[in-house]
Formats: sequence, structure tokens, C-alpha cells
Amino acid sequence: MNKLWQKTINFIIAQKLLFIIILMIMVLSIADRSFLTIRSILSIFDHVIINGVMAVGMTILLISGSFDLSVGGVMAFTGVVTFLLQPYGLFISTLCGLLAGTFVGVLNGLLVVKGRINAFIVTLGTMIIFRGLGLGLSDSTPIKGRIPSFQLLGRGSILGIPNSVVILIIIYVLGWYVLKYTKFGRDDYAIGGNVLSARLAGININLNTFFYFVFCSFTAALAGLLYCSRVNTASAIFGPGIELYIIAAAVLGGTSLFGGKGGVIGTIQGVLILGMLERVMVIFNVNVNYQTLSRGLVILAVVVTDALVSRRERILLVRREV
Amino acid sequence: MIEVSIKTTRIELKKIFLRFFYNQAMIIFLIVLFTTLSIASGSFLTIDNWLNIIRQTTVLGIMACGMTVVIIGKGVDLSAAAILALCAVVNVMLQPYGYPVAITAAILTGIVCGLVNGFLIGKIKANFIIVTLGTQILFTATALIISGGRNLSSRPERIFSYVGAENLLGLPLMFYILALSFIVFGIILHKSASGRRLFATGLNDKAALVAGINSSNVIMGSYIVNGFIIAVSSIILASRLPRIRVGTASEYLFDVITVVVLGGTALSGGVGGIYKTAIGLLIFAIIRNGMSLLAIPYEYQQAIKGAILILAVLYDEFNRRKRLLY
Repeated sequence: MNKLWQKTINFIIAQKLLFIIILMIMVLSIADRSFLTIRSILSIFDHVIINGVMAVGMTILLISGSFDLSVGGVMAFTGVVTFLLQPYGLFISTLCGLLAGTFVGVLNGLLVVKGRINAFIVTLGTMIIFRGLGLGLSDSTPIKGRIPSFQLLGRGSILGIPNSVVILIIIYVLGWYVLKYTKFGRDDYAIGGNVLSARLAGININLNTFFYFVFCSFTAALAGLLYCSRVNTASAIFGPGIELYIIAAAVLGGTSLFGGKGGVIGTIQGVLILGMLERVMVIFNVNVNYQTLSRGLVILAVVVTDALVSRRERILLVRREV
Repeated sequence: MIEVSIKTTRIELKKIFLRFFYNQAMIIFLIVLFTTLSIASGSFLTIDNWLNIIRQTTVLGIMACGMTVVIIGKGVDLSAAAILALCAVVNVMLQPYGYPVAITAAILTGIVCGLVNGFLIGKIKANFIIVTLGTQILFTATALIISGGRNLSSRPERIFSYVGAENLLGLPLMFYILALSFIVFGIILHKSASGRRLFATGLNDKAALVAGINSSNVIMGSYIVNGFIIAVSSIILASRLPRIRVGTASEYLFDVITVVVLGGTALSGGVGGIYKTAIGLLIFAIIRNGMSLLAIPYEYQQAIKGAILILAVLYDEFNRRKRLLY
């Protein structure tokens, strides 16, 4: 009996995020009668889609012990490029937008790997550069979309499920599979855990890190396309501060900022929790400034917990070695 | 024999020249920039323009002192602009209760903000980037809540506008405050025991710990000093601008990091100095002024600033490798 109790406790601790999500759904459905329907559950997924897609790339990057502050800039830049090129056709504009966004990742990766610059300063710089370029290209005004069929990406649906949710699921399954069952994914954990031993084990660290940056920007570019197709507008000021929000979601989901730990399943839970928290605050009609304040508090709480947990783990590790 | 010695002397000379070049490249760059702009724009070398440059960069320069301290201690304060906004808002809101109260409250606010950052980073050892990004949101939201998101107009009290507007011996009063803060920070960083502790901690915090330095306290102290000096610059900001809005402060963050990095203070910690930041400030101010004089659109100015930041760090990295060779 005691053992069973212990097992249950362990299960709850391991799946604490799931329980928080269930709790929040309960609160939401009490507060808002119309909430507990399949439609509104889908609408939560729909709401978090932009953050969710970007969070996959960010998780993979965070696991390798690096991170990217330029994702918000990439997202906005992709939208601007796509909408500026729309006179040349749907296919070309979308492809060029996606490539332009991914190119930022190539730049980030090269500067970090070849230039050996701190990832923080590189991505801070590229964030400013590409936000500025986006503003310059769009003359600081939002651009309206010209091709109606482009909106299908974000607004259309297959068999009642929104396209965006389908994309979200595909990209999470892909991320989960890559991290769990491919060499590329396993190397990610090795690099994040200990760079030196990863190098000694024969992992090409530079090449891998480069691809993690490129993939991170690719997901950001994809999110930018989804966002712009949904609102049918592109602006270079979209998504201010979104990078932090995404990092917080990943860390909430158990990915460590110190690298080597985490996964996309946790990340989607983190994204959902943060998304529902916003929903709760909207339902309870909280002032926008207080919403921002509580977002900052949540992020700080998450980071502090991460630091405390990883310190305890380090102490436990030392004890075991002794 | 003489042949050989001449040859070695030549090699020595070459080495010395290269070392000089790599060490003083920023000054050389400054001179080149200065000359180019003087030729390119007729209004660059006027006294009015230079007074203008001084007025525009004082707040940035004072903030850069604090940021230098933080970066030498292997950290970055991304909440700097938010602290600036919060202190300015507190200052302006409390002005009806008298000027001393307002200033004291602003400085206390800055110190408390620095304390929050320092405690989370130094004591709890959370990642400094995420912590300061989080506190950035927190402080901005607090400033917005206090001010209600409105534009706050500064009371036109005599002493208050004095700091921002008056001249002393032909130079703006602000300039003397800037110079004073550079001198004080230079002495603290380079001539005092706490400065040496900071350098040691930034270089290698574990080694510093073993050497008997309480590195978590040192790091905490660096953020508190930063909070304090940001509060001081917020007083000047509030006295210079007739209206304070929380959004106006946000662009200071990127500029202040660029200034420090441009000077050559390394983000890897433990390397740098106040004199480097002064050179960085001068270069940055001239570039910004030059871009305005050459009528480059604001959006592209932002992009160029980002490129300058990356190039500066890239140069610094190559410089370090070259210096190892020579």
C-alpha cells in the first residue's frame, strides 16, 4: 500500500504540468460555461500556435546549451518579406519569406560557430538588424496581404481541425522523433550535457550547433508565415518580447537553461499553460499592465525554480560520486 | 652579426607596431571616423553640434559606467532601460512632495531594482539573461501601472531643470556629471580592492571563490551599483526631457550594451575598463550623430547599430586571437 502511494506521488510529481493544465481547464470551464467544448479546446491550441511552433526550435537549441533572442525579429522579417513579394505569386513569395527567415539562422550559426561570439550578443544584434531592416523595407507601415489563398494556411481547416493545429502536431511529432530516435537529436543532449566529452566522443559540435540555429530560425519563420496569414497583415513590429515568452515556456516544460535536459513534450505543456494563463486573465478582465506584470513574475519564478532544481541536482551528483 | 641584429630589430619593430595596432585599433578607428565625417558633412565640426552630442549622450554614458561594471562581472543587465523608465517615473510622480524626496525615492528605486537582479543572479545563481529579461518586463509593467501609461510632465522647478539645461564654463552641466562618474568608476574599478575582486570574479568565479572572494556578493554588488547609477542617469533624463513616457527609455538598452562592447569590454567577463567604455561612447556618439547628419532613415539607423555591435564583437574576437600570436 505504501509503495503504491509512493508511486502515485512520483507520478504526480513527474506529470505536474499535466495536472496544472487539467486544473486550469477546470477553472476555465467553471468561469466560462461555454469553455469545455471541443471547439474551445481547439481554440486554445489555435491561440498558442505561433508560440508553439517557435518553441520547438527553441527547445532543441536550449537543449544544446545555446539560445536565440532573434526569433521575434525573424518572425516579423519573414512576414514583411513574404508580403512584399506577393506580387510575384504565392509560391515564390512564401518560399522567399521562409528562406529569408532561415537565412537569419544561417547568419546566427556562422557567427556563433565560426566567429566564436557569444550567442547572446549575436542574436541580440541580429534581432535589431532584422527588425530594423523589416521596418525599413516596409516603410514602418503594416502591409496588407494581396493573395486570398495565402490566408488558408492560418485560417483554413481539414476535417474540422484548423490547418495551424495540424502543422503544430506535425512539427511536434517531428521534433519528438528527431530528439528521441535520431543521432542528430541524441547528439543535442550530449553537447548540452558536456561539450568536452561530446567532442571526445566524436560529435561534430560546430556543424550540429549550426544546424540547431538554422532549425530554430526555420521554425520562427514558419510561425511568422502562420501569424501573417492569419491576420493577413505583415508588420515589422510583430511579436515584441516573444523570444522571452518562448524561452519561458520551454523552461516551464522542463528544458534546462544549462543545457542537456528537456524535450518537446514538456515544451508544448509549458506553452499551453502560459497560453491558458493569458486566457484566464482575459476572462477575469485583468488590466493589461497587470497581465504583463504577472507574465514577468511567472518567468522569474520559472527561472528561479530551474536554477534551484539544477543546483540541487548538482549537489546530489557530487554526493553520489563521493 | 650586425646583419642578424638589424633583422631581429626589424622583426621586433614589426611586432611592436602590430601589437600597438591591435591594441589601439579603436582609437585609430575613432580618428578615421572623425576625419571622414569632418569631410563628409560641413556641420559636423561646429561647436553647436558638439554641445548637442554631449547633451544626447550624457544619460547613455552614465548608464554605460554601470553596465561596464556588470559586464566585467560576467553578466549583462537587460533590464537597464526598464530601471531607467521606472526611476524616472517615480522621480516625476513624487515631485509634488519636493525635490529631495523625489530624488531619494528614485535612487532607492534604482537600488532596489539592482538588488532584485543581484539577488536572483548572485545568490540563487539563475541565468542572468533570462532573469534580467524577466525583470525588464516586471519593471516596465510596474512603471506603466504607476504612471497609468500616461505621459508625465516634469514640474518646471528651478533646480530640476538646472541640471538639464544650464551651462557651466561653456559646457553643459551634465557633462561634468558624466566626467565625474567616469572618474569615480575608473578609480573604483582600477584602483580599489573591490574593483580587483570584480575582475577576478568575472575572469573565473570558482578561482575567485577559492582565493577567498565572496563571488556571489561581488556579483550582487555589481548589479546594485548598476541600479544606483541608472537611477542617477534617470534624474538627468527626467530633467532634460519635459515629458516622460515609459516607452521612450526602451531604446537605451541596446545602445548602452553597444557602447560598452564597442569599447572592448568582453562579454566573457574579466576584461575591460572604464577608459575603453569612454572610447566606445565617443565612437558610438559620433556614429549616431553622423548618421543623423547624413540623413539616414531611423529604421536603417537601428539596423546599422545592430551591425556595428556584431562587427565590434567579431573584431574583438579576432583581435584576441591575433594578440595571442604576437
